[in-house]
Amino acid sequence: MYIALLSMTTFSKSLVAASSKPLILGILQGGPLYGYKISQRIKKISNGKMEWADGMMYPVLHRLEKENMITSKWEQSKEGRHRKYYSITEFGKQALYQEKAHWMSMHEIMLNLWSINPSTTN
Amino acid sequence: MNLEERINQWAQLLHMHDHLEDGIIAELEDHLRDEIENLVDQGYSKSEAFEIAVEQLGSMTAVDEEEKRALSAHYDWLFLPGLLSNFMKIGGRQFKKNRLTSGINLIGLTTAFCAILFIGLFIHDELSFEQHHPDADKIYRLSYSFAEESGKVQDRAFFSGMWVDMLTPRIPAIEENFRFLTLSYGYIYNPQSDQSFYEEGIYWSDPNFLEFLNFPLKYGQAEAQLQNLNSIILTETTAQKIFEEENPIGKNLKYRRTSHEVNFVVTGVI
Repeated sequence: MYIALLSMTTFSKSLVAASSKPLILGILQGGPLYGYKISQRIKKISNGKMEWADGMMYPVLHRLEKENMITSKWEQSKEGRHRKYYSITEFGKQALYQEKAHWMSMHEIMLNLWSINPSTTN
Repeated sequence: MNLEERINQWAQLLHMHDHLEDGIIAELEDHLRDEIENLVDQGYSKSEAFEIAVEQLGSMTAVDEEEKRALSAHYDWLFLPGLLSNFMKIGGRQFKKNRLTSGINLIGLTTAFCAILFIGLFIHDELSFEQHHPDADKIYRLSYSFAEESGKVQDRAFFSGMWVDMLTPRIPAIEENFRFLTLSYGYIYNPQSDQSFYEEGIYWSDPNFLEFLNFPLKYGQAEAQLQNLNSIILTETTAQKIFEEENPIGKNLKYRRTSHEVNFVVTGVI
């Protein structure tokens, strides 16, 4: 029952928004990708728990590009379709490092909180 | 409607959104196609796959809103000159997107600019006349208008010279007066070189012409001007035409028109 509940959990909008930056940067660290592949990766690693409208990812990509964390390049696929490939920049890598540190310390804080006082786990 | 048509129609509709440019629309369309292919591989029909893929992309109004926020985030003003070409491109796309409205705006703007330009030129031209005279604001020209028997009013820029003698003693505000009369056209004959020149804009004038109007003398003495009835002042271009490089002061000229002939002595060049 508990496990079933957990797997059905979807994140709140604000949590998805806050995590979109480290998620995208983290995925792009593995190499350049285009939008559809990025969204596929996110779905895969989150086991479908990250539920967002796929379209909303593109403005996020554009914002990150504007902040110089990623760059983009149009390329043609085998079928002749134009695809925009995104890749992470040095600045993006630094930002990702920062994000990791923030998320890990947040994780630590939560762990401490719940291990001290088990009643807050519900 | 087949799948290709539905996708194209869907992409066309995206252009209705203010902040969805060609770039993001191409990305979204590519995403949609990938998702449809994926779903078809899983066994869905093309039509079902299209519906599901569109559903998964979510609300395009929300994407439009988000894109607006993403694009407007912190403009660095230093980069604005570099972005100019981009702005022009975006402007062009927006123009294409709303052809009719943009067209009407453009025509309106063009008309307005032209009107302003013409009004400005007209006013500038009107105000630029005769401003080089030192007392330009105090000099008035007498003119008159009269009504015909039919009631039609006509305006004339000239006036009888006798009025000066009538008005000057009666209106104390008149400090000085000065009359001139156009002779219009005629031939100026130079007996020295035996040449005739057709001239327009020849005037009879009162002797105080140079006191009234500011035309600096190139040659001649200010006091000696127009003291005699047969004195004549030439403009520099006319003097050059008639006498070429010679100093024309004291030279004789003849004015000829039909049977009239008047002798003149040049006393000044302005």
